[in-house]
Amino acid sequence: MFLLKSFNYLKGYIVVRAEGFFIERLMNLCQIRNLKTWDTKIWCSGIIEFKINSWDYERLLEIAKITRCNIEKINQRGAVSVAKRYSKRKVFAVMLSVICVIISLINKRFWNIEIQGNQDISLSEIYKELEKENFKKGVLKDEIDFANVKSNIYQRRDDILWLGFSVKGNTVIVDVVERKNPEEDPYKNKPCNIISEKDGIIESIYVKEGSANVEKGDAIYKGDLLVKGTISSEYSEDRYVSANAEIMIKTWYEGKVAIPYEKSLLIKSGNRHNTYKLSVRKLCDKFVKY
Amino acid sequence: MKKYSVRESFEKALEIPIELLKNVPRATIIGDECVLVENYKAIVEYEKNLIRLSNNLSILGEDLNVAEITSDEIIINGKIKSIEF
Repeated sequence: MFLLKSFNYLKGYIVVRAEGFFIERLMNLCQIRNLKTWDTKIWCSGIIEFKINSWDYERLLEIAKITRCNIEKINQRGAVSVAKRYSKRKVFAVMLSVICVIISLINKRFWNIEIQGNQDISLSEIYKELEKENFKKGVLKDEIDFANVKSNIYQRRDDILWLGFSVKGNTVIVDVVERKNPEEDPYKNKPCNIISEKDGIIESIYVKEGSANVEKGDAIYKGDLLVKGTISSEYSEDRYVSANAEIMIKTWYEGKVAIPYEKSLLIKSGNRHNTYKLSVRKLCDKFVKY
Repeated sequence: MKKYSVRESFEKALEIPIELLKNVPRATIIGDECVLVENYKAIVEYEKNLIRLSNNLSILGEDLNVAEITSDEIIINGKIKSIEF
């Protein structure tokens, strides 16, 4: 019956009060003529209240005429009555629809573009690049194809490695990753040696170019020559190269920490302090459960 | 031994529920709060303390209300004191 009642609310029902001598005849006639009624209440002998559907109301009036009862509409509920109430407030309905339209129009465009992650390239440059792709503030969301924008910008700019677009509501967050050139080695083409900067013991040495002066396990000091920039062999003259090697040294670093002369300790004094608390669960256990 | 008529013995053999044969109402009582009456025909009297159905079955109680009513069934809620015939 609950589902029926909810459908009835949507379609609209009327709360009716009936008064007369032959109330029972009225109820019987309703059942015979297939008028659905529910929630009947009796106030006193001869006065009852019940609910019927709005479209059954005329037939109820006929029945009331036959049984000589008075029928009174107390309340009318449902979608129909709501519509009637709001038909007198046309401005409300108009403004509501206007607001809905405006909101839907606003949400179709991007209103903000945020750019993150750029270090060497300036913000205005990135904005110009995006503008060339027709990607400005206020552009329609449907008009932009992110993959297209990305591929076009990659082709034009060498220094942008990757672009990421993430959409949050009406904002687009653009992540820029720039291409970093590998560090230039100032000693690339000049012949030179490798000299250590710290004291320590050598763990491993792997020479790519040059000849090693030390072995694994040697103790070295700051300023010692580790790899020579000359390659000498029996068959040809000495060659001068820029020494290149990977060396791992076990070394140490020093630092300073300040510790105060005096330090305070917490010792138990033996004093007692009482606290009281109210626990609801323990109170409830004392009550009798029925 | 009771003598059954031909019709009665026929109906007994088929085991049809009695209320359909003899056309009498069937009442289901739930606690002291709810009575479901099936196969009632009409409401004869409807008061706060008494509901009389189909000239035989009457339900006495306090604050009686008809919760649901269709053409076959009626559900009565309220504090029920007695059911009389």
